[in-house]
Amino acid sequence: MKKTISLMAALMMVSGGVAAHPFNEAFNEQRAMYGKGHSFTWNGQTYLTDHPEEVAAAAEANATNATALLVAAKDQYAQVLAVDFGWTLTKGLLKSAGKALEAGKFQDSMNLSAQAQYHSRMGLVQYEQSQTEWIMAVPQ
Amino acid sequence: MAKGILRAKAKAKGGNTVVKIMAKHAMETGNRKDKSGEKIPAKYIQTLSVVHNGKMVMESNMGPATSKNPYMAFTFVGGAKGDELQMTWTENTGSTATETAKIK
Amino acid sequence: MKIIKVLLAGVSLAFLASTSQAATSGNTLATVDPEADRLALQSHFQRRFPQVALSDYVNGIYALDAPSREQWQDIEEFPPYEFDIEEGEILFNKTFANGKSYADCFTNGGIGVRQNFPRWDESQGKIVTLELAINQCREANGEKAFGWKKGKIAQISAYMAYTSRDNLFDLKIPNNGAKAAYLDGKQTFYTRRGQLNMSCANCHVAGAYIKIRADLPGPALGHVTHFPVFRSKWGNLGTLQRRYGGCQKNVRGVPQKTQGEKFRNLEFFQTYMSNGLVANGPGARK
Repeated sequence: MKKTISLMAALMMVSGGVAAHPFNEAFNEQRAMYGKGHSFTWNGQTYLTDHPEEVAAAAEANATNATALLVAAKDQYAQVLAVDFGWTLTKGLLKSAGKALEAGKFQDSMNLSAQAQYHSRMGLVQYEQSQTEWIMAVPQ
Repeated sequence: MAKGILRAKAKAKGGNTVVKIMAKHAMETGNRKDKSGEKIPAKYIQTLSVVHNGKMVMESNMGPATSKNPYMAFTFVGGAKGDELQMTWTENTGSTATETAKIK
Repeated sequence: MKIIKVLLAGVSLAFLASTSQAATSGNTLATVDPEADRLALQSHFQRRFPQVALSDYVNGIYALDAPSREQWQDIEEFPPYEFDIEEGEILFNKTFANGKSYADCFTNGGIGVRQNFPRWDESQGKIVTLELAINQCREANGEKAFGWKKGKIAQISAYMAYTSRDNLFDLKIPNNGAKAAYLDGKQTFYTRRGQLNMSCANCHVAGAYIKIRADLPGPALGHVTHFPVFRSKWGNLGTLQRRYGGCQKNVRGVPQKTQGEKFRNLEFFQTYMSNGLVANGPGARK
């Protein structure tokens, strides 16, 4: 079960409390049905079915942006490794992103960095949620 | 008593004997390379044959395709508790030896 | 009560605590009850498999699945770990350069002691596994430590396990330090991780004897009693923590450190769950 959040939604939850159909469920449904870049409404506001990383990767494809995204992705990977929740495919993605950057394929590089950063962010979400969720799996 | 490379278990039952043999052998094909990039020399069992009362009851041609510590099991007609089996193996290097096992 | 699974930036833990279900089996140092955990795990499996004797769980999946049990019994006639036990005995009896040997580091000369590990070592303030004790013995006597996952350490561990066959596991939790380690191990066991978001429990408690691709995962009860293991997939002997790393990679998670604190505590938890069962290592598994 993937739990995906956009930063906008997180802020909404803090201020507005919890709705009957939580944002992340609506997001996941819409993305599963329509893919990325699809707009939908939830609680009167319009959102896109894009992860924050994908939004960042939609910026202009140039060396500066690509480098910045790669640095951010590597940073996030270091963060998730520090709590022991890294995913195995991330390292390869970062390596490919670096190679694409060197080859001047900026959009490819940005897309790969976006994917890598998503992995790491999800790993951190996993880590946070596991702190309180693990106990529910224990047989009584 | 020096141990050979063969570990054998032979059991007589209902007129037949069931034999199980495991050979402690690296079965090096000669194609693997060590850390410095040099090929590890080939060293593998070529044949393994088992004789009972002067009669060959099993002959096996192994070779580099057989993996490490080869294990085989076979049944032959005859054999009784207390009989001896002669197991002879030959290696590509020319080494050879005969080891014995008792049927239980 | 529906539990809302949403990460709130900076507010998450407090928010979730106020809406989550109250846990009946403890998850804090004050409330965790290892004996209750152990009995709950036993009754979980006894409810699912009423025909299987408790003592048989040391044989893992072969206690539950008849066809693979038959194949395994055939293999056990000429166990693939037999040569490793022989090698292990030679290594175990070999003296160090300074004239001492492994016998000097263990009670009873290191014979028949497998069931005492892992144990809480008060002076070190941590859990010590058998492999850790072996390498600590080496280093204390001026020898270089072995690698943790396979080869010589596994062979020595295999020999020591072999001399301990049929000894009952009866691990103790003497103080809060040990209890905290137990709790940490318990948490690791039930925590989902990796891109596939799975925990040890997913496959080995709820998922035991349920096909995952072409394999049947073994039950968590008695899980660790037969290690080190000759795993057909590896084609050689390996330690428990070698498998821990492999399992975490299987769910696409970067594995935690071999013989690091997390894995040692996990091994302590898992072995405590097998208290009352016998040591039966080394073992052969698919």
